[in-house]
Amino acid sequence: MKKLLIIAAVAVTALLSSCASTGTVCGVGSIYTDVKSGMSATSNNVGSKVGTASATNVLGIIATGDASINAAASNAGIKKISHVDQQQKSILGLFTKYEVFVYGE
Amino acid sequence: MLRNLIYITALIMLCNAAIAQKVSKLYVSKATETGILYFIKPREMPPAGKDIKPKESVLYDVTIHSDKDTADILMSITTLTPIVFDTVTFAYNDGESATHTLQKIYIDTKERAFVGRYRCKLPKSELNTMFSCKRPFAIHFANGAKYAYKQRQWEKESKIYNTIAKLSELNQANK
Repeated sequence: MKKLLIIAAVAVTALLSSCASTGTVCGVGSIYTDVKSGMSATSNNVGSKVGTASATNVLGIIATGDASINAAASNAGIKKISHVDQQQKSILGLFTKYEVFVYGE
Repeated sequence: MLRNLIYITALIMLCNAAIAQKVSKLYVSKATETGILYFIKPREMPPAGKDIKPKESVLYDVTIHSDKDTADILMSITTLTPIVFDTVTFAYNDGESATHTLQKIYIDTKERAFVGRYRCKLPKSELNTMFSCKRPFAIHFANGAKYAYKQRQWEKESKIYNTIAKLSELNQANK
């Protein structure tokens, strides 16, 4: 009975993990995900400005935000983009936050 | 039904708190040709006066360069009416204050409100003093709005900045 409960709990966690998650370069952890990765780069200098924008997903039911490169660049007044990084965090697939970081001048 | 809602809300809050606790999760850094760039992710400052209407808020993020004497505070000011702010005043140490010019980046709409995005460049030494105070500093705007952390929250917030400032100092090229 105990084994059955454990198996059921693992199965439910695995199933729910896709509720509010998005893929990362190394996959999604069913319990916890915190992955930074590169998105794109240009030949411009790194510069001294950083802009960010984010979007969140709760329980796979509500997903809001503007995590576009345009929003992140506008937030810091960046005209020349050097490169773009992204970060995805997720807990149990129930709460996911996606952030974009734009560097430039 | 209500109990389930409470459990779900508590779980979401727990998830949020778990994501937001460690200082290392609250900033990003980048090596540049002239030093290291630190970016403290956006933080929300709570209202501290009665002049602030619901839905009005201030979010700020900080960009520090290890080899520069100035730092940038970028603010998103949400107001119910479209206002352009020219200056911001930081009040700290029970009486000291400094007024700085705001450079407007853009004004945009957000649902039924307006968001103004501004850059404020100030000396790193001043920012260090503000965040080293035992009592939280306050931000005043020309429309009378005032924002400040509560004492309990301030200890956590000042620790975040002071850790990054220390890192920035340790990574100075001539150190």
